[in-house]
Amino acid sequence: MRPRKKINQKDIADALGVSNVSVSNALAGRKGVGGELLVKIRKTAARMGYGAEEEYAGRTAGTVLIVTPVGLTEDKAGWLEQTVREQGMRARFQTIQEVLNEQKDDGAGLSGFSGVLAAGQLSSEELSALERISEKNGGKPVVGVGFFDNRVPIDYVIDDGFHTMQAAVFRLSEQGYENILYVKLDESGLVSDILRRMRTDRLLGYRSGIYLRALRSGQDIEQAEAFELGDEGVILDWQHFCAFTFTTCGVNSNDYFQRWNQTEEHRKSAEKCQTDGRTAFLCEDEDTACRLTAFLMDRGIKVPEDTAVIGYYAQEELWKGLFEKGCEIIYDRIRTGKTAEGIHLVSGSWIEAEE
Amino acid sequence: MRDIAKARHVSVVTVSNALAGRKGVSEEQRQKIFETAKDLGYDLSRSEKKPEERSVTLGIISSQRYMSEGSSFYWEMYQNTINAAARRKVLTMLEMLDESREKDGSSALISKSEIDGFILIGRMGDVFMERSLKIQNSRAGSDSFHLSLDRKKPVVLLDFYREGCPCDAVLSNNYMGAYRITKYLTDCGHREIGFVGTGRTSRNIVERYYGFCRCMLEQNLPIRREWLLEDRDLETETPRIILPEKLPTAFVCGSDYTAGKLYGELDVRGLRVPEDISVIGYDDYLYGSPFAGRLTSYHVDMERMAEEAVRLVLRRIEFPGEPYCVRYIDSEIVERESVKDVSERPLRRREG
Repeated sequence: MRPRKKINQKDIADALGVSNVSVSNALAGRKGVGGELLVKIRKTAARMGYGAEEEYAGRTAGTVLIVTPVGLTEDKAGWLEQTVREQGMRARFQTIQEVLNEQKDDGAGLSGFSGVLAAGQLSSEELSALERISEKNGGKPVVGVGFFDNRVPIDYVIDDGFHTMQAAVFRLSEQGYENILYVKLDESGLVSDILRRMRTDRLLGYRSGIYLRALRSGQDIEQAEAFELGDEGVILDWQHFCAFTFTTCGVNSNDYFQRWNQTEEHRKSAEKCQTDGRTAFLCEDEDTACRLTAFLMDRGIKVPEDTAVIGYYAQEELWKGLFEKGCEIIYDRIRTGKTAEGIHLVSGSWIEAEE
Repeated sequence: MRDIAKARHVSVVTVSNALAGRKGVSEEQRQKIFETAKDLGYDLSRSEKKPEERSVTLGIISSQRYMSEGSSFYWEMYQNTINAAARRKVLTMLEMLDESREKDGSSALISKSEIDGFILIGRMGDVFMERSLKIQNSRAGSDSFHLSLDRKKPVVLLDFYREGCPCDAVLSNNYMGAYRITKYLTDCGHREIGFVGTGRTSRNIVERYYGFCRCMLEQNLPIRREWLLEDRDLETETPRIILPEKLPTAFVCGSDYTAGKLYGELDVRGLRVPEDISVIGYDDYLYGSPFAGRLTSYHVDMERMAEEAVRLVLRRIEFPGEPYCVRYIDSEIVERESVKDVSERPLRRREG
């Protein structure tokens, strides 16, 4: 067997796109690197086998197989590969059909891979088949990324939109925002199941945050009323919003509001668009936040001076976080031999916009 | 070590004590000795020990009200915590707060310098939380053998969380766990489902309630107010469930304790479980009830939760600068006999 190339600090720095000095400081426990970067450097170093404890020497993370319902675009495969590489691992891609066909042909299955990341919702039957193939190959870890299936007991990584939004409500309250409104666009029916569930999590997180805030302030609200609490979310009609965004010059904001005021529901929502400096808009995603900001500023409402607008992670960044966690789970399972642990939630963090 | 001693104008004994983490050296002096050691290229791996190898002591604090009759859940959580600590050769000291001390926010253990970190089991009152964490934040134990400049003693909350707390927390996977048990019911064909639990008394129950909502919304099932039942009278602080006239076909309960009480109320009405109505619980911990041993429930993995709490507090002792996190520990549904499959084609369930 060819001797394995020894990993040095430069390899780690290159994989993460950081300086050698940062890596050196992080691994030596010196000041200058803290928080998430410190954690990231240490984890990547471990997975690449840098200074591995004798017990785990040679047991590096290796290659993961990324299985998707359909083939990925070059662009998506590219950044997925980059994400996996930053975790000290390599990636290969196959569709679920290719994996199942290979299994039929020679049963080799998952040899050569450390584990499987199932990205994009597979059916229960497809997941069960992957799980069975993994068991035949010595119990390689299989991790579902972005979804969950009650019937198949593997690991899953899910975006924790619920707790992230809950924490956002708390944070805004602490900053003095009394009126926190949730902004979501009516679903056009073109949304995937995964995205629909993510949005439900965020909406419920907002509602639970409003409820918990009310309880903390001493309000005595029964469970039955809780579900309706926080229903003051401003729902913008997708069609009107699109019209506003894409029409040049012809439609101004007053005209938009006139159309918006036509229904009772919209009129009530419009009344809630206060600009007293104590209103914050919590948007279900970054796109909504951008559009809302543009809409408000066009009405002469300054953001953030008059009102705050908070978005949620852009999709690519969110999926990157989920895949990082997926790689971490695979590496941990290889290292410790643990069995599947069910759902792992990946929470967001508060990021201030740059000036 | 002689070179380090010379550079710092101290004795070799002092350097040896400092590097080995022994008492008798001030924190400031210890830091300077370490810096000098690194500058001189001294191999610190000879002296530095991981927290698991030093005699780390953790303080475990809980409230007496959790350890009373019918609440042995928290005794078991405590046992799992000391087992997890013992596996890592970590010592533990327990303090159980009575009501008055919890209200005062006073704890004997918090002021002990030999404690390196704390695990709080079960929700504590706000006064206690504020006082204990403030004390932690401002304390600068001169004889602490913590090697970092940050002198905070880490605190990990076990089975509860409080927004804004500068500490880690480990909880059961409340939101997704409740989603799972509700999905279990819908997979069995149930469409009319209620929830029993009092969110006003417990953040965990609030999260489980919203997990129930998640499934109902996903399956396009209506959430009916009359089927959202509280499980206690808050004025008298006694269990109380008032059943509506028309009942759903199934109930999700915020805890097994609540499921046990619900079973009693259904029995009074002459209703059988699961023949007339299905019930699913949360905790997988029901004792002293005629329903025990029959209730399908979401298991709370206390062993893993305790393991994670100990791991987090030790990690923070070693790396105080890392961001705080809240860990939600998932588990599985333990199938027993309290849910009837009313779907057209009953699914074959997994064993155990």
